Amino acid sequence: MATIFIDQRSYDVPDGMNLLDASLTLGFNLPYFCWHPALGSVGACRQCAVKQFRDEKDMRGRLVMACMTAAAPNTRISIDDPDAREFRKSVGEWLMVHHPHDCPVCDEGGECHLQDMEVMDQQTYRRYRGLKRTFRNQDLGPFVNHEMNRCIQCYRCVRFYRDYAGGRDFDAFFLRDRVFFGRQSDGVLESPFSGNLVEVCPTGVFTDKTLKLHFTRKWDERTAPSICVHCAAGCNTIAGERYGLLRRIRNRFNGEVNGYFLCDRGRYGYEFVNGPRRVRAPRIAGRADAAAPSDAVARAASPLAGGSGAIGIGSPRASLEANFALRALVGPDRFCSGMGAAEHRLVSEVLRLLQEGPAPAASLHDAAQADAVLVLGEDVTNTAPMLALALRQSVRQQPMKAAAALRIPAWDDTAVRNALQDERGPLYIATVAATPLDDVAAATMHAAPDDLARIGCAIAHALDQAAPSPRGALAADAALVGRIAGALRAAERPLVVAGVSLASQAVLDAAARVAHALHAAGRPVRIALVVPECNSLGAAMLGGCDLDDATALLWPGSPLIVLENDLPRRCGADRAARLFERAGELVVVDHTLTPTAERATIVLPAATFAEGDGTYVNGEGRAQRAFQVFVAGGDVQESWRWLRDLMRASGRGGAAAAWETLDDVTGALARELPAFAAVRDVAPPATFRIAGTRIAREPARYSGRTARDANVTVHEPEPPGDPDSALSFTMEGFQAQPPPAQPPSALIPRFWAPGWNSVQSVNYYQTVVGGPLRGGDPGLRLIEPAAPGAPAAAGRAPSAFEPDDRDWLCVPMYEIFGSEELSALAPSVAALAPRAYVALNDGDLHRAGLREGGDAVVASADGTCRLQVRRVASLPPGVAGIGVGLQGAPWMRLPDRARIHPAERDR
Amino acid sequence: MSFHAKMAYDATFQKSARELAPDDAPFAYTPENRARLDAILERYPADRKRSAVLPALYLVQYQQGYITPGAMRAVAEALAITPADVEDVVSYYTMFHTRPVGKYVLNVCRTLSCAVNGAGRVVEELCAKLGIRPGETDPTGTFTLVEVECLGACDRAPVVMVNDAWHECLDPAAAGRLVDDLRARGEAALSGCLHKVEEQ
Ligand code: SF4
Ligand code: SF4
Ligand code: FES
Ligand code: FES
Repeated sequence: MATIFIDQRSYDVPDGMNLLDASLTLGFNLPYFCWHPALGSVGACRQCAVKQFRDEKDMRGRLVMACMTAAAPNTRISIDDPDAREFRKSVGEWLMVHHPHDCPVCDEGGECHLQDMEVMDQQTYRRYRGLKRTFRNQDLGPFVNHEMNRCIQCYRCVRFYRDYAGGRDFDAFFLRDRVFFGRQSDGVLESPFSGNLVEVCPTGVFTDKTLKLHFTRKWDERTAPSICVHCAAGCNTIAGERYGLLRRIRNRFNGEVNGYFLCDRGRYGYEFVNGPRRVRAPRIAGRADAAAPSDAVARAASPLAGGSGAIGIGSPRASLEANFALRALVGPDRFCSGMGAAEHRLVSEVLRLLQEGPAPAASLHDAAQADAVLVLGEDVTNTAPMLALALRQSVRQQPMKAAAALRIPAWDDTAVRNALQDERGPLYIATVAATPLDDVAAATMHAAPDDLARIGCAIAHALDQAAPSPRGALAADAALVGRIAGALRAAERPLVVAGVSLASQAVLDAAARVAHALHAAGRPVRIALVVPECNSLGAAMLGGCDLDDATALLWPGSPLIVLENDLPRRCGADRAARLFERAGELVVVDHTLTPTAERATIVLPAATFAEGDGTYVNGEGRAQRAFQVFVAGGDVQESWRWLRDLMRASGRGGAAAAWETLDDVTGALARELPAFAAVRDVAPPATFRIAGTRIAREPARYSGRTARDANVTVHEPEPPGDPDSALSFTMEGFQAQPPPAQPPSALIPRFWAPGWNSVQSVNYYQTVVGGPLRGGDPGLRLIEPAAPGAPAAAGRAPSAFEPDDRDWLCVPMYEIFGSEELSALAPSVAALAPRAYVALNDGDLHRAGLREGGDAVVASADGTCRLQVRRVASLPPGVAGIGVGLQGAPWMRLPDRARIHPAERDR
Repeated sequence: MSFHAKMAYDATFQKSARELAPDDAPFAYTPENRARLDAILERYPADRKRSAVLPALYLVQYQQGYITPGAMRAVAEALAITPADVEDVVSYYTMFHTRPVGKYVLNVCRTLSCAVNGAGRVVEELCAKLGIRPGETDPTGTFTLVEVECLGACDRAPVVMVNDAWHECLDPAAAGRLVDDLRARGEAALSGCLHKVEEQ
């Protein structure tokens, strides 16, 4: 703690802060532009000037930049000093010289940091009467809109895009008042984190291009705290709606998970909610018109009432509540996790590793703090994008120690970067092919899955002689293996990253062995295991069977209930068709008309994450709740409510049939399955009140409330009630506002503080700027490893991969845009999704007689398919990468051997 | 467009890519220049090729007078960096031209020492003599007039750098004579005091 004096009063602030951090943490309104809590200080904008005094006798003082001055003990400053105010005001004035006065037509208006700062500076009138410089804007692709005239040259965008996120196609050009931020020429921004520019830029230069298609001011949006459903990272989001349309997704700060940022899949995937494939009314096969909900439920329930045989197929993309309701309806023995056999086995293995330990799961925050990392087999940029962004920060941890030794404070970004230059800490990446994270790796290795596992085993063996050593030659040289083992052993916070994306048990085992060996050596190792979907781990924790078992269990003619799941994606069209044929009634509860739903005899329209509350367990084992944003039109309701209705109509489910609220469901879940005991506490119950009221989803300035529905009725309709959460659907209730009264962190529907309308207002919700939210970051970890931890995996290292003359080993490859089912339905994401492809290295292309960009026929045991040929030089010989989940890609069991030849031969 | 009469919007400054001559043709170093570049690249470690970005750009400029987008891409490729990295540099420095310039580029220093020693009058004289404004090229394509910041020869102010050659202690009359001399004698009129980058 350091005691500092601000305007003659003393305050205690944590050590190592700068004066801007400290002032904001203490709740002062001190304007700034170029500083960002995640990016540090560069002292570029001169907006944060304060007056500093030598001691209590110094009356003159001098202006310093708060962001560049350490809050050392006994520092005396004045924020209110007239000179400092005048200086800040003049900065505000000159920044406006070229800034257009176009707030009314600017998408940023109403949530603009520049607006807020100008008001704070009391810079209201413009004196400049000269010409304004203007730029031509660029088309930066489907995500980010560009309006350069609004730039105030704070350089945050390049600092985020290049320094923080590693993008190389975006830069600052020119100098003086002509400085231009953009690409060298028009084109899609290459970084999958480009959408963060929208929030990082303090003005309206970069705005959300998808929001533009259905624009709404921030103050007109109804918002709720939500969770991204597009991968297992479980990033926290704020989802905003108006007129029944989900308008956009913004970051919701969670210090343990995503911090200040999101990936573009998560920010832009939301458009599936408004998509044309949505189901909004029950459908009964053979009937042209929508069915009445009661009819559909009665018809779906009648075969269930007989008592026996119904199989319920759950889903790793549906909430815990939905899956649990299905389990209650069909019974635990007839509940399926909704995953194919291989995926189910591997995700369950991940669950076991996390439960038994010894290494605890790493949060994204832990990953960013790791000072030595081994990535085994996982292309994290494409399977858990925000984990890649976190790992990118991890390589700064070791060099930062050197900076600290030079007494450079961590927040002094320019000085740190100058001191460190290109120094990077140990990040070792062993994957099948090159990944977008390779540029910051200390070394990379590319090999077939079994060879990756062998590398992992060799590292484990180097750390702990008890671990089995792979026999024969290794795909990486021994010196490198030694270096990796040494770096991991020497680290203070070593991390092992792996996952199920290669569908390889051997890779998972090898990663576990490395973690085990480090643990045995007494190192505080953590492990990050990537699973495929937003609730994969939750579905595995519910403990159902896999799809193969479900197929075997299904008596011909028995009803099959499929929850938010598209089975052909999981087990292939043929097997799914066989399953459907075997079933009697096929009841699908889903929000989207998937191929499975098209086959259904009855479809019940489910709520998406934005239309109903639900709890999801991310890859770290953290349960987090997404809250309903708005009431969907039509007959849409939460999946668990449909399933409860089926229980009531069929007389099944026992006590579960009486469920009325979400709290009933989570309560039952917590009672029935001990692993979920904490699930009730993930967020306050629906009965929670703050100052006697609910928390309002609509901001106080929400406009047109009485006129909003005037096209339908001139009477103001009664607002919908919310039995499931402590949020209200209107502006009545507690308005999100920082201390003294701030909602519990899981229930913050939006960030706003007096004078702070932009995303920067989050500063006032944190214990210290950049630190956890007050009351702790939301979400609860359900899984901690048992002490003392399980023994290391038995068995030997796999034998080396042998390329085959005629066949290729096909392994899955992933695309951030396109591989995930729901986000791929969003037009902006779909625009960037590649065609289904098969990738080979140059030698193999030649061997197979293939041409890059041409078509190939891939023939495996699951049939043949035609795919576009892609050249990936880093693939090992004999290994082919198949882009999974992409439009036009038929399902194929992976990994598997397949013949590959040019498509022409077939014609 | 402006809705405020006093606030006409000036469309002069645009991103350089748009200002470039339409020729966006691919660029290739001549074999000699490529050899010179390779010799320069040898001075840097293989993963630090970007360090050679300035000489690589000068070579482009020596070869074709100015730097096209195609050339920026070629430089990016040669140095294993992105075109954005290259344009970042090109657009920052006044010595790099992104449009065709005259045979002789007259860089008049206008920073303090030169300014107090009459650089302003030198510029006026050259403008009058050539019939152009700073930043422009004369109709014959012989001269381009550019105002630049300190050329590092303040003791000999005012300074005009013509292509790579320093001409020092120039009063307006001497500046006028320099133009005549260049017209009459061509390169022979240049002082022998050369600025050459990364050569020898
Ligand atoms: S574009 Fe935005 S973030 Fe970038 S320098 Fe300009 S104002 Fe700052
Ligand atoms: S897709 Fe994954 S990484 Fe991206 S925002 Fe969503 S949860 Fe986070
Ligand atoms: S915020 Fe301190 S100088 Fe920009
Ligand atoms: S001021 Fe002209 S050369 Fe330095």
